[in-house]
Amino acid sequence: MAIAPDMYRVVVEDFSVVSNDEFLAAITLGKLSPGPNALFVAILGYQIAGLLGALLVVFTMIAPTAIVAFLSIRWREKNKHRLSVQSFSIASAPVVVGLLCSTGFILMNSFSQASELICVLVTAFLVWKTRLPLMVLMAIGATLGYTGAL
Amino acid sequence: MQRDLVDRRGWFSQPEFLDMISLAQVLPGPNVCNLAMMVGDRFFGLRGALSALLGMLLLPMVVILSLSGSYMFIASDTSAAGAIKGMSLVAVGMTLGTALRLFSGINTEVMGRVSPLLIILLVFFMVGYLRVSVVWALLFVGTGSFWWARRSLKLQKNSG
Repeated sequence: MAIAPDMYRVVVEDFSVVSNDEFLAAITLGKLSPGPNALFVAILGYQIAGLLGALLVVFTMIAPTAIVAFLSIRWREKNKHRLSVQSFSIASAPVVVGLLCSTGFILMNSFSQASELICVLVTAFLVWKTRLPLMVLMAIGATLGYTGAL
Repeated sequence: MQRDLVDRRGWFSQPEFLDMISLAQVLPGPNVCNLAMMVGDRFFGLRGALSALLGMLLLPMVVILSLSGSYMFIASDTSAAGAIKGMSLVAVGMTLGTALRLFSGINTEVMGRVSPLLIILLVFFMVGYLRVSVVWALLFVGTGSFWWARRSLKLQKNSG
């Protein structure tokens, strides 16, 4: 999900091959579907260049990172105790929080009404403080949206 | 995954799994993919990791792409468009909620109270407001965060 801001900047703003609504749809579908949320990029690829686009995007996203990740997994097994390894985990937390907040902020630009804002904030609170299944939250959101409450 | 691997199958202990999760988060790539590779690697080495990864990706891709087609179609129907908007709002809320959860998990013992907030604000300012590439944010703020964490951890260990 950390790539979302950059993806937005490139496909929606810089190259205008995906609209804001389409991007939001991709994010939503990514969260709705099984598997990693990061697969929203597959939908972006699909929107831009059909099935081939989807496959290409996923491959370029996954292949290099998977190789690095795999090698790191093996390396880390031998180096767990090292200071740098621990520092990395500790240090990445605030950075990731910053990136997630940025993503939320960028996507919030699509919404301006109070009811929409409240929905986002309530969902954020529920995700934070409760263990409500994500599907339940989605269902509630869909129902509220359908009935026109939003 | 926790319920399946730890509780149901007993392949890993809870502490082992937690350790795997924190590693998965730190590594590049989606967490569940990294986790899948770890599980695959543990039992069948490289080909295990590969099969686990493909399993984690291919089926969801099929689901996701088949959904996309109908999603766009549904979006054009106005009453259902409301439902779609509702779900989009929830999706945005989920992103923020995840941020909040992670925020609670920040190691303030090592990092202190102030530096994490500074880091978050800096990243948010660079990426959310200035719309700078995430790469720059990671290069500058990420490296800074790393050195600060490393320094603090070292001091803590030396004095402990």
